[in-house]
Amino acid sequence: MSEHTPTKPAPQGLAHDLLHAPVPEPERSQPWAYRTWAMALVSLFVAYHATILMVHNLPNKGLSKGLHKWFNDTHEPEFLGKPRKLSFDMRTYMLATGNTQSWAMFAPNPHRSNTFMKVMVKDKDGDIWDMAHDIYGRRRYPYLFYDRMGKINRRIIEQKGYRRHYAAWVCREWERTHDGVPAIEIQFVKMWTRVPPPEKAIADAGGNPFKMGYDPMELKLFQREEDGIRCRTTRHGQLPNYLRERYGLPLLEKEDKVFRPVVHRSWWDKKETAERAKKAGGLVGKRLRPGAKTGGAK
Amino acid sequence: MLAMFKGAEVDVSAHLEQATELGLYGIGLVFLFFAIRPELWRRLWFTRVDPRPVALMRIAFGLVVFITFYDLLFPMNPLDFSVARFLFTDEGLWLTDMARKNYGGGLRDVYDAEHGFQNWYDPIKLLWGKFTVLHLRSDPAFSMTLYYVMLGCVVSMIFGFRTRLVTIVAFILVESIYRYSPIFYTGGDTVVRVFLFLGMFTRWGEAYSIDSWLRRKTLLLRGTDAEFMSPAGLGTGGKFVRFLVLGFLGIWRQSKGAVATAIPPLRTIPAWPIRLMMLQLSIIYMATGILKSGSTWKDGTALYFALNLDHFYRVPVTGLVTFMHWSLILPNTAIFVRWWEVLFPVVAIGAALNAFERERLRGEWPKAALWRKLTSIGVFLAAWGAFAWVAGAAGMYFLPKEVQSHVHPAQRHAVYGWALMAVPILCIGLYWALRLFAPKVLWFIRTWVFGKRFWLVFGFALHIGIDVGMNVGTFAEVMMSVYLCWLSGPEVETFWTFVYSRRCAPGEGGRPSRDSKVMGLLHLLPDWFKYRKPGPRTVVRHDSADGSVCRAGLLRMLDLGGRLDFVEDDDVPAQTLVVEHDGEKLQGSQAAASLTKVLPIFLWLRPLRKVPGVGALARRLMSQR
Repeated sequence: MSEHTPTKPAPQGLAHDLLHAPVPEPERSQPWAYRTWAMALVSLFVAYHATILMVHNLPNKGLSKGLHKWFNDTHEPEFLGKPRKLSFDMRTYMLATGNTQSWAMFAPNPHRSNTFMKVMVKDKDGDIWDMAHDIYGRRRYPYLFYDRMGKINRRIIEQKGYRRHYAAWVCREWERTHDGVPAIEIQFVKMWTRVPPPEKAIADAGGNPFKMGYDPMELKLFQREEDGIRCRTTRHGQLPNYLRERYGLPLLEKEDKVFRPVVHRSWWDKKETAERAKKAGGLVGKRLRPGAKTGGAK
Repeated sequence: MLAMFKGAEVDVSAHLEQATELGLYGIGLVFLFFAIRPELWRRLWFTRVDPRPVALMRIAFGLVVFITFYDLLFPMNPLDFSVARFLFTDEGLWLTDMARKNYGGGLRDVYDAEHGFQNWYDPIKLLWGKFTVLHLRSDPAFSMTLYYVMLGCVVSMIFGFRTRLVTIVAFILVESIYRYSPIFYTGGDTVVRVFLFLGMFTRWGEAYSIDSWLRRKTLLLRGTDAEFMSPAGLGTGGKFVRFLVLGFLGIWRQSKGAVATAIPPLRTIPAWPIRLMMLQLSIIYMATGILKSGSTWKDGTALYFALNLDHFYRVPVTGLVTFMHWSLILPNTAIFVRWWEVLFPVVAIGAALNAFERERLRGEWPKAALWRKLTSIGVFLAAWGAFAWVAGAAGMYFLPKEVQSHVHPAQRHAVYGWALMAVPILCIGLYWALRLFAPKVLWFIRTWVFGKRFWLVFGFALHIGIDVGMNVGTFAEVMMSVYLCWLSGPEVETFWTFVYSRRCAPGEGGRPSRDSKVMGLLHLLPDWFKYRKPGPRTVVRHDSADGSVCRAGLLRMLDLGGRLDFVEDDDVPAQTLVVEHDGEKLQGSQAAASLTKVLPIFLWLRPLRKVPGVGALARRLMSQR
C-alpha cells in the first residue's frame, strides 16, 4: 500500500457521484416498518411473544405459579353470550418455537466437587472392563474443543433416568465391537473429588502465594457403586437385526426372543384393542340376550 | 418477586390468587398504556433501523452456530465415530422408536411404525409441538444428510445468500436436530435456538451479504433510481408490478447505457425482531443472575470453585486461581458479576433514555396531547403498583429473616409494596431534577451508568475471561455475537474505521509524549484507543468511461473502512482497474490478490492468495460481472 494523493483535479460527473461523493446512509424511504394493518398484526405477535417470554422465565413456583398456570390453561370467557375457549398455550408455544429456556448456569452455586461416572462392562466370561467413558485423569490439556461426551457423563450422574438408555447403548456398542456377542451387565460407579475450600488451599500454602494450589489428581477420590443394568433384560440393550445387518454381524435367529423393543401403545394398537373389546362386547351381549345361543359346550 | 427464584418451596397460598390477578392486571395495564400512547409502541417496535449491526451479528452468530455443529462431526473419547452420529442417528445413543417414545410429544400418539399416521392432517397438527422428522427416521444416511444440509444453510446464512429463506430452513433443521434428544444440551445451545428463532424474522441480509450486494449491483449498473425501487416510491403497486416495471425500465436504461447517479444505499429494516433480541438477552442475564442465589455467590467463592472444576478448566491452574482468590480478585469479581447480571436490563432502559433525549433534541420524539400523557402516566403507575404489590408480598415471604427483623410482620407487605411503588416516582423526579440542575451528571448517568459502553464492554470482557479460563462450549462466543444487535449503524462504521486505522506514535496526531514510564504504561491503552491516524490507503485507477467508473463504484461498495482512493487515469485500458500496491501498478489477478487485504469480505482469501488460481478466483469475484 502506498500513501498517495490524487494528482488530477477533483473529477466531475459520474466519477464524482459514484467514487468521491459521500456514501449515502441507509435509506429510510418510509418512517415505519409496515402499513398500519400489518403493524397491528405484527403487534399481536410481538405482544404475545414478549409476554410469554417474560412469564416463562419467571419461576414456576411461589407467587408466579398462578401466572404460569393461567398462561397454560384453557379459559372459557363469555363472548357474544356464549362461552368461548381461549388458551395462550405457553408451554406448547415455547416448545414449538424452540424457545424453552432455563438459565441456571453455575446456579444456585457452582459444584464444589468434581464428579465422574465410571462405566464398566461385565462380559460373557465375567471379566470387568472399564470403558474409560469418564474424564478422570484422562483429559488432555489445554482443553480446547468442547467435550460433549464429558457433558453426557455428567448428565447421567445428575439425571438417573438417562442411565438405562446409556447402558443400553453401551450394551449395543459392546455387541457391535465384539462380533455380535452380548455383554452381561453394565455397571456404573460414581467417583468424585472435593475441591478444597479456598481457606484450606490458602492455609496449606501458609499464605505463600508461590506455594498456593494443589494437584487435582492428589485429591482423595471417593467411589460409590451405583446401578448395575443387565443387557439381556434392558430395552434396546441388544442389537436388532437391522443394525446387525448394517454392521455385517450374524443375524439373530429369533429376534423377537432376544431383542427387547420399546413398549408403546400406538393409535393402531389402541384401535385394535377397541375393536377387540367391541367384538368381545358384542359376543357378551349376544350371550346375555334372552334366547341367544350360548357358546358353551354341547 | 426475585426472591422466588430461590430453591426452597414456601407456602404462598394466602396471596397466590391475588398475586396472579394483579400480575394479569399489571400486564393488561402495560398494554393499556401503549393503547393510549400507540405512537410509543410504534416507535419502540416498528421504527426502521440501520441493517449493519444486525448483519454483522448474522455473520458472527452464524459462525458460532456453524462451529457448534461442525465440532460434533468429529469423534471424541470414547467414540470411534462422530459425536453427531452418536447423538442423532439410530447407530448412537437412541434407536428411533426410543427417542420417539421419550421425546416425541404428540407424535407417539398419532404415529405407528407399521401403519403410519392415523390421519393425513396429523403431521400438520404436530408442528404445534416438539416435532422432528428424526423421530420418524434416523438412520445415518438420512440424519447426516439433514445435518449437512443444515450446515450448508448456516454457511449460506453467513454469506447472506438467499438469507431469509436459508435462515428459516436453518432454524427448522437446527430444531429438528436438537429435538431428537436433549441429553447433550448446554446453555450455548439454548442461546443458539432462541436467537435463531428471532433471526427468522430479522432482515439481517440487508447488509454485508451477497443478497444486498447483488441488489445494489443491479441498481448501480442499471441506473434505476433508488427512490423508485422503494415501496414508498411506487405507492401501493405491489411487488409484482414493481418487478415488471423495474425489469423493463432496467433493460431500457441499460440499453441506453445509463447508470446510477449515486452509490445505491442500504435499506433500513424493521426494528422489532432486534428489540426482541435485546429483550431476550436482558432476560438471560437477569434470570441467570437471580438464579445465582447460593452462598458461594454471596461470599465470593463461586469463581474459585468454578475455575477449579476438572470438567471446565482449560488448564489446571489451581495455584493461580487460589492466588487470585487470596488477592480478592475473584471474590470481588464474583459478587460484581452477579449484580451486573441481575441489573443488566438497565442497559435497555439506558438505550430507551438515550433515544428519548436524542430525538427530543431533534424534535422527532412522538408527541401526544396532554390528556393522553397524563392518562398514560396514571396507567403506568397503576401497572407498576400491581407489580409492586406482588413484589412486596414476595419480599414478605422470601427475604431473609435478619433483613426483615426491623419491620413489624403485619406491616411488611405494605412497607415493601409502597417502597417499590415510590421507586419510579423518585426516579422520574430525580431525572427531571438532574436535567434542570445538573445536566452533565445526567449525561454521565445516561452514557456511562446506563450506557452500552459500560454494560456491553464489561460483558465482553467477562465472556473473554470465561472463555480463557474455562471451556463451556460456545456459550461465551454466542453471547458475545448477539451483543452486536445492540449497536447502531454509525457505531459499526466507527468500528471499521478503527480497525483500519493505525495508532499514533507519541507526539504524533496530538498524542502526548509521556515522560515517565509509569504514566506511559498507565495511559497505554487509553492512548491506543484515542490517538489514531488513518491507515495506509490503496489507490484504484480507472479510465473515464462510465463502464469503468461503475466497476470502480462496485468496488467502493465493498470498501468498509473507506480505504480506497479512486483516480481517473487515461492510461488505464477501458473496462479495467489498476491497483497501486507498494508503488507498483497491478492488474488482473495480482491486483485482486492485493485487494484481499483491503476488503474485509475477501479476507478469507488472503491466506490462500499464493495458491495458484486463487488470484484468478479473487479477480473473478471482484470483477463482479
